[in-house]
Amino acid sequence: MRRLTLPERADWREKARAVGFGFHEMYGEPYWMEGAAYEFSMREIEEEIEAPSETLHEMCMALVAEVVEDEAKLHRLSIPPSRFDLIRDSWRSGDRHLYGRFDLAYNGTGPAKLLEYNADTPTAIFEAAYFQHNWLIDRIEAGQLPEATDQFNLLQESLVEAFATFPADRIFHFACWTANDEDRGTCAYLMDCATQAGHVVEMIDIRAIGVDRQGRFTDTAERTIDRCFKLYPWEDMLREPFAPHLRAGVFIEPAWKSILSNKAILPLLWERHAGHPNLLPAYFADDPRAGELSRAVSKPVFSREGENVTLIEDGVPIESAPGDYGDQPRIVQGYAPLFTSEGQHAVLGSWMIGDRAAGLGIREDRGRITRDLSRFVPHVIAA
Amino acid sequence: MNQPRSNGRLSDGSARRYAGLNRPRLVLGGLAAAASMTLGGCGGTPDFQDAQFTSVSECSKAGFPDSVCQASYNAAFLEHQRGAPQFNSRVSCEQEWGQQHCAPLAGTNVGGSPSASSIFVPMLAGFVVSQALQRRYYDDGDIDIGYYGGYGGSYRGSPIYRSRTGNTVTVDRTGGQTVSRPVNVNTASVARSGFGGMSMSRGSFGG
Repeated sequence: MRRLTLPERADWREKARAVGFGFHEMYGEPYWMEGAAYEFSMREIEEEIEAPSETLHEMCMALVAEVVEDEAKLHRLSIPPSRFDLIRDSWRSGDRHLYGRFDLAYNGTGPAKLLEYNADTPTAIFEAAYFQHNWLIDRIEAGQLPEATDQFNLLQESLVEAFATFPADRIFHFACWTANDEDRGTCAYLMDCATQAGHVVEMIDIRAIGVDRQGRFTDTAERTIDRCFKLYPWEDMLREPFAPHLRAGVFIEPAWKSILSNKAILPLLWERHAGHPNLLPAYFADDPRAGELSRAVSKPVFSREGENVTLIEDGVPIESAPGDYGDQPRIVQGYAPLFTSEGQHAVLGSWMIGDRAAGLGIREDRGRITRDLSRFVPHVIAA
Repeated sequence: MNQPRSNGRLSDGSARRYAGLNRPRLVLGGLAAAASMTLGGCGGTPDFQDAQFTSVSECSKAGFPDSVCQASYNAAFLEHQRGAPQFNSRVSCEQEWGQQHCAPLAGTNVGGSPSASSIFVPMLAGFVVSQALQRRYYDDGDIDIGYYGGYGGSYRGSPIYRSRTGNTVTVDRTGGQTVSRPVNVNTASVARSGFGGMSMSRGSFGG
């Protein structure tokens, strides 16, 4: 693994605009960054990223199967008891899942370490699946990269395949926070993939969802919502006013994914697979062993975009990120150094589409805590 | 999981590839670029779509002409009588369609004594207002209820049933097999904005 510098395509901004990639800049900073690229060997991709991702996913699925049958664990995961039945129903009736992203620390030496699993509302899929792929083809055609350069990227075809496993027998709604460019863009891209799989799709703002007298969810045209992708966290949906109307079989990701999007899985995975090469030691914050980790990271169980994450050395906080999640239960995880080059810290986003490891997207950040100002940098597999 | 992994080689010895080599640029299905989707065009004939209702009054409330609603209901009722999936006992019907979802077919004998002619069917839960009927109304200015919703008419209605899981479905018979298809029924919301409140301050949720 190494970081290359490459000339940018002169027209990449026009290309981004042409496909609705409006969030190539965020908060006034570039977000898509093609002046660099991360290079891997085929061995690194196959043995250190692809295979471990599938192993981690299997461990996670086994954990869900165990946790749904154990109320104490559901409590430990901060799931409201009134929603236990929903979680159990959605798992037992086999509600399908679509996608998730493992964030991995990997620097080319030693095994990749799981930082967390974005199993519920992952973003950065459009740039990983589509924009990164076309960047590669453009660079090869321009002679900037050798003809045989490859990329770990089966994402778009895997998404279309995954959508095709849902019967195209009713409207496939896509709910998100439409005022946010990145969320709306992610939804629009997934809708596009669903359309390619034969679905009739409809976008709806998460706040516009209604219920009818029978407790069925409704769209703005007063039609029932029978199948709905949502880019909105389960931990909030389970607690909001419409939570009593939730039932299995409607939403994607399904309700059982609320178990995996929770950082409390990290200590539960470590408890079951202590010493596994792809796991870091992790404990609930109230576990005395948490204090024994000399370098550690304390994370709220529901935090996103690095919010309220604190780095700890010998029990002393040395760096922390602000955020909205400060009042939550926490876990403490052993510190894993990220790949660092040119002052940038890289986190690998390894995508699962259904149960298959299907691609890679890398975000880098000046700080050691990857935040919403991180930049997306393309990757290649060396020719 | 689908590909063997041995030093980047596939089982036939060729180099494994993910992307690259002669692979074309990806294309979008046309939706993503137009993230703000608009309905239909302007001018010309309106773009009719099937609509589904659970009662004539809901249909009227949704703005469809009374005659269209009534004709659609009548036609669905006739089709229901003619072609609803039939069972020779309530028990066998409920096994397929769920508790409280079955009734004797109108006109069959289920009086005091068990009768061989008793037939049970899933209860009619709604009807489809078809594109075709809407277009006919648009073209002709009205609907002849007697023709479209009456005996002897050639127009076939589409009854809607409630399945054992509570979903609304239409029923097709192809080759003697009964196939039920879910529908997005039209309904009336009694509340909105029950999701989205907790995250109001955050403004985005991806991670």
